[in-house]
Amino acid sequence: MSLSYSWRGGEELWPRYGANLPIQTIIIQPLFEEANRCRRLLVSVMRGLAANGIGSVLPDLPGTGESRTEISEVAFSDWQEALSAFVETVEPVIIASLRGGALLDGGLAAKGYWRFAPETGTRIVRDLRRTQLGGSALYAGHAISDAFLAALESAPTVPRAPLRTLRLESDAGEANAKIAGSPLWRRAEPGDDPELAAALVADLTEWVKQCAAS
Amino acid sequence: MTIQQQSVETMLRSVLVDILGLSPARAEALDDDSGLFGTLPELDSMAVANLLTELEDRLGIIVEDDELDGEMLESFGNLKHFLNAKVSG
Repeated sequence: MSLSYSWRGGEELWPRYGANLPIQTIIIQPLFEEANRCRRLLVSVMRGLAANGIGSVLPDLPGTGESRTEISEVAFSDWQEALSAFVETVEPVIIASLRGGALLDGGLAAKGYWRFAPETGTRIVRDLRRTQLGGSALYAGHAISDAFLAALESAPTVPRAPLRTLRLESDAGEANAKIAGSPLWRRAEPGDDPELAAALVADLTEWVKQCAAS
Repeated sequence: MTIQQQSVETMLRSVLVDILGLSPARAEALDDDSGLFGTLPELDSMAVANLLTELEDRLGIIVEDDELDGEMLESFGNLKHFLNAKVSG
């Protein structure tokens, strides 16, 4: 099912599973093209969570996905504001983020935080700039403003507690646990990865239960 | 070839399979003269960014912006030599 919320008068839509369950999770998706590539994985994760009694919702960030706002008119701080307003209505136990989504959980209230393959703003912006190698004025197909890029580039990963961080085995970064899988967010034809989805569901379920009990 | 050069070459082929979705047979058939950027339809500008970042992660290197040019990505051999120089340096 989908739900909508109002942001600056425009309706933003997002997928939701297990809306009637007492425990809710907000998932902050990867940024820009990476979000499209992880879409199927995330829907599999949300279905798995619902089967374990955990509701989840995947908001689109203003200017991305199904949002009716133009990305060229969005500031990075708008993303933080939209999520803050949204968190108040859902009151999630856990805020789970992927990749660049981890740059957005800093001001959001929850009992616990979970990050999968978190990425820094510097590296995300470097990736976006590299997509211009072919001479495109767009960044990975998006008309992102210079001010947005500058804010994203310097956006800090805010320390949160309690926090659990997960990464792929091929990723050298620090984590509480490493899991097998390939980086779907970099694949031209990402498809689904049922094993990775199942591993994420299992880890997230355990963490949600721990945080809900504390 | 040194062991290190061999492993860079093997890793490069596996990244081309993982990121561009080339079949293992196609990746295996690439030789030094095989064209990449501008030749492989899978390697568009979006894929170039993803390919470079994945190579950086797996090899523990950083590709500077001023090193990034069409020549480095022109052929399998050019990219391989660039990576070998990076890993050794």
